[in-house]
Amino acid sequence: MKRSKLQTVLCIDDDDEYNFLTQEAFNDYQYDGQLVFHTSAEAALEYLSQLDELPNVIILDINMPAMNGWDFLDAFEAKQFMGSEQTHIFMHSSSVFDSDKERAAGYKYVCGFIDKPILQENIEAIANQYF
Amino acid sequence: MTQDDIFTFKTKPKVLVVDDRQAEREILHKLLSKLDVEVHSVDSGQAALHQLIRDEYTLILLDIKMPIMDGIETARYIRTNPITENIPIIFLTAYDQDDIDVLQGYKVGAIDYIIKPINEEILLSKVKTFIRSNLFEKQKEYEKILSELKLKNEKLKQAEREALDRLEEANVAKELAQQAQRKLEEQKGELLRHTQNLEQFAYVATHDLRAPIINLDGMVKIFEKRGYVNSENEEIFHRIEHSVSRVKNTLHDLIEVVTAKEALADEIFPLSFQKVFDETIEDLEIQIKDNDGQITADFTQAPTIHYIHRFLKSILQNLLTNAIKYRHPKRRPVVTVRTEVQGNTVYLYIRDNGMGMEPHQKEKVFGLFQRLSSDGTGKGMGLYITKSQVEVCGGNIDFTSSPEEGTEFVLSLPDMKRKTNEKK
Repeated sequence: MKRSKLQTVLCIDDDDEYNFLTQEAFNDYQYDGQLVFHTSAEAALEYLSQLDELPNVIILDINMPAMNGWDFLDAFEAKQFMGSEQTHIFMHSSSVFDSDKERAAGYKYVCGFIDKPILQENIEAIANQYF
Repeated sequence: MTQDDIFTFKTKPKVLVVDDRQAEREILHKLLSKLDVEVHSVDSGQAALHQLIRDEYTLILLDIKMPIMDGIETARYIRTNPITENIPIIFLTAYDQDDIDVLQGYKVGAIDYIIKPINEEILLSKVKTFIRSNLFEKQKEYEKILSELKLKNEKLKQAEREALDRLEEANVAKELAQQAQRKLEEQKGELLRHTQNLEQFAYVATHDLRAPIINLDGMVKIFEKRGYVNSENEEIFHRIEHSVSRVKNTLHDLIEVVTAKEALADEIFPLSFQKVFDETIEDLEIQIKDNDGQITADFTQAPTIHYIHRFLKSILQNLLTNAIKYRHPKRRPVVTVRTEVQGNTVYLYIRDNGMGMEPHQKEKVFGLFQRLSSDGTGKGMGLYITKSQVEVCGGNIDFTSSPEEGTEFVLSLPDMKRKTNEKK
């Protein structure tokens, strides 16, 4: 059952256990679209460059080893993907520092900030507001 | 010694001729002009005494035979005056045994005589002798002056050296002060680095601890949600759940402690006490119900304040939680909350009928990890956080308490209304 036009979601997070929780939140939401996980920003960029159409939503963890969330955003902007203005990026972190939220607001493609853990309600809110 | 004294030394020696006869005076003038001296002459003893006061003479040529005051008498006067007593005198006399007897009674050296008619050679030789001896005296005086000058120079140099030493000391002191300043700067920098390290630590600790705890908490919930809990694992599952929840709460409080250190100006908004109070009561509903608590509020005296929402809510939450938690075991908890306003400050009063505290516990109450009762649950960070949140906004927290009767907290909260940025 399609509940909205939210069809493709990419989650970028190095924490596999956490990705399990995200998966569960999407299950609770009864999401029937495509949900893809990547555990590194580099792999995610590689994945994106091979797509014909970008995902509707990218949920991006900030704290990752090597290339972190901010590095991913810079690379994403630099690559100028086709139709990237249709992609909604949500920063995602267990950070409790407002400086991260302020910084997130400075990026063009960033639509919001979701505190961990992500819940069914967060997905509902995104779907209702943007799709 | 002054400059004048030195100048005097350099001038020609002066010789005073005292004779009542003009012809004699002229002869003496003429004879003495062959020497490098300045010759003055007077015609009487009185005139001589006057002249001697006016000018300084090296030698006196004094005629004995003079009317009114003779040479002997004149000499006596000269000798009684301290200014003139040491000036050598050469008496001029015709050959007269009586006079010569008197003259020989004078002290040797300071006195001499020449018998008239004057022999040029004898006169000049005697005068020269006296002048020379005077010059010798003068020379000695000059040397004395020189040595005094030298001494003074020495002293000046010494003073100069001392001044240099002082300067050196001043430079050393300055250097020390600069070193101290540099050290202070270093320490400041070090302190700043420590603070930054601490912030970095807090950041990493909260993130790195929070992330796995979020996972753990999520897994526990999923485990339960999927119906994996059964009679066999129920006990151990709830113990796990309880432990996770404890770690989660401790971490939450730690984060509050860390973030309470900064109050951001753009977090300040006009807040309704009633609204924040209602939110808090909603959060504490179960706790209140379990204890059959009664909490009433009266914000009519001061209904609003400009403050940071998360702080005000946390303050109310902590204080109301404590009021319920430290209830009196034998009576139903009754808590009253009210506000008052005085100038720019709002006073918030929270009064309970709980078990109260002994006076000696007062200073411990606001400490970190301080729990006053083994009956109470929690981690003992609540009041420390509350105090931080009140103080970082310029306020103050205090309380009065009596054991078995209850406690009243009084908080002064300055209204943080922004003075700038009132743009439309």
